Amino acid sequence: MLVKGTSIELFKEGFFDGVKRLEAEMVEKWQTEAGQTAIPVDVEGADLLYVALAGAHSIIPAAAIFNAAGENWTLSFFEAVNFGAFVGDPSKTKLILERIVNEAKRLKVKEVCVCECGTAYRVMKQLSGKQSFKVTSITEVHVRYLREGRIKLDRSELSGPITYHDPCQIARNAGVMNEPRYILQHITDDFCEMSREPKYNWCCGGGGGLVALGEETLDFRMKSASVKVDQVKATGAETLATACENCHTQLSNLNDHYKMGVAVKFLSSMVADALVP
Amino acid sequence: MQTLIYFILVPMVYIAFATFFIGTTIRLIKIFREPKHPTTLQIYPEKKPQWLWALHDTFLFPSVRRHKPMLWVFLMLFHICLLLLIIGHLELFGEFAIFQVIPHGVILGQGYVGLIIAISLLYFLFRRFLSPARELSVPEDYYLLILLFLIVIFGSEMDWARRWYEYDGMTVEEYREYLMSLLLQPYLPETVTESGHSFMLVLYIFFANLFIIFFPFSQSMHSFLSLPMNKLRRG
Repeated sequence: MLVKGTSIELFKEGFFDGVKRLEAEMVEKWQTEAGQTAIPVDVEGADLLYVALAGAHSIIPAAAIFNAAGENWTLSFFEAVNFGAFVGDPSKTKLILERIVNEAKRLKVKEVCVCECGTAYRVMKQLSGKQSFKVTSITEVHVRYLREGRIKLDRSELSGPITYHDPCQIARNAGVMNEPRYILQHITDDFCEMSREPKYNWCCGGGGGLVALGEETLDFRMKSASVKVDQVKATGAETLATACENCHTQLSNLNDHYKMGVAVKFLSSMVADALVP
Repeated sequence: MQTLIYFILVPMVYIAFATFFIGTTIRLIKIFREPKHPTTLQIYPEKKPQWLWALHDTFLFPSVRRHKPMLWVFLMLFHICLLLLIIGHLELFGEFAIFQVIPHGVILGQGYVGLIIAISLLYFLFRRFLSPARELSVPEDYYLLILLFLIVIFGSEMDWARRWYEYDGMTVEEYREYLMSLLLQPYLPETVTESGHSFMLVLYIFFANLFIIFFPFSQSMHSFLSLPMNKLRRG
């Protein structure tokens, strides 16, 4: 009997096709070693399981960086975002979380790397319990690659002052605060902080997922986040980097509404663009 | 009238303390029995040692200091004076060498502690008539502050009369006698019930009893819960 959301086997074929199309897009920009699959899927025995969002922007740059670092990785069938957590339903949160945990166990990976999504990272990190794999955010993984010299970044790629917005779920609620700054120091000479200490950066106002749930909240979100706009404008930055999907959406909304005049970018895409082959 | 005075000074005190001990115990047990939160409630960046920072947050209110310095000053004054008053009242039960590290007469502060705490309470009360505190306040907030102010005013009056106006109609010794007698065999010395200040004492004890009864059902429970909450917050 066909039940919505449970017939995983049926969508695998379509998924593989989609991945192939993404691979074609990828190799245009980033060279892949001969014989290496640009985006490996369902690889048992991989070291790292990367859980992405349902969007090319979440998969392609990350894949480029994993390949450049020579990582033994595999892409997850599932998307990282936990809609159960967004709507506050504990049983659905658990259900969505367990799909990924079970896949990690089946593929016997050592590490589950969560994409740039605040709730996904926090739920995976703090609710998955004791497992044989460790949970990291993609920002932390990139810092590791930089430290170990597995990837090299070109400082001249980006121009203009850059500032960074800390997603609540990743920074204040989960502790990933120094890593993005370490990365940005390698990408640019012109990095400026929004406030004295990262913990004083305002929340974007996206409501931890409300952004993803519809346009009805747009008005309220714009009104309540005017303090964030002031903070961003005060830095004089041209690029606003962040590491969370919903923050990116909210900040883009704010950019349009308040005419902040910044380019809102994902940190991972900035790293991918700055990669030295 | 005599029975009313007796009721306030003896049975009501027993009722108050019983309600307080049973009430707070039950409430604390209920709270600590609740299931653990599935994730951590810690905020970052992490600061170690965590227990020390939890103490720092509990007793120095750094967030208040950053956002509302004036309120912070009065909060610190209020709580420090409260601590001094608690020490002073413990000394009504007997001599404790440890408190006499700095030698002083019973009830510290020469009357100024009561004055400062009374002014602080007025500040807390009046700020709740202005926005935004006004929109966020519930009746309990006002009742509690008014009750505390009445307790402080009647209690301090006895102290001020003794310290600043040389009133000796009712002394600390007689008060001690009454207080100690409550433990086994209640006895009301004549000066406690018949002196010029007796009405102050009776009203003071009446309002204090009300506060003690109200305590486990009010926000005053933050005195027990603030440290555990900050410990959760620090990890």
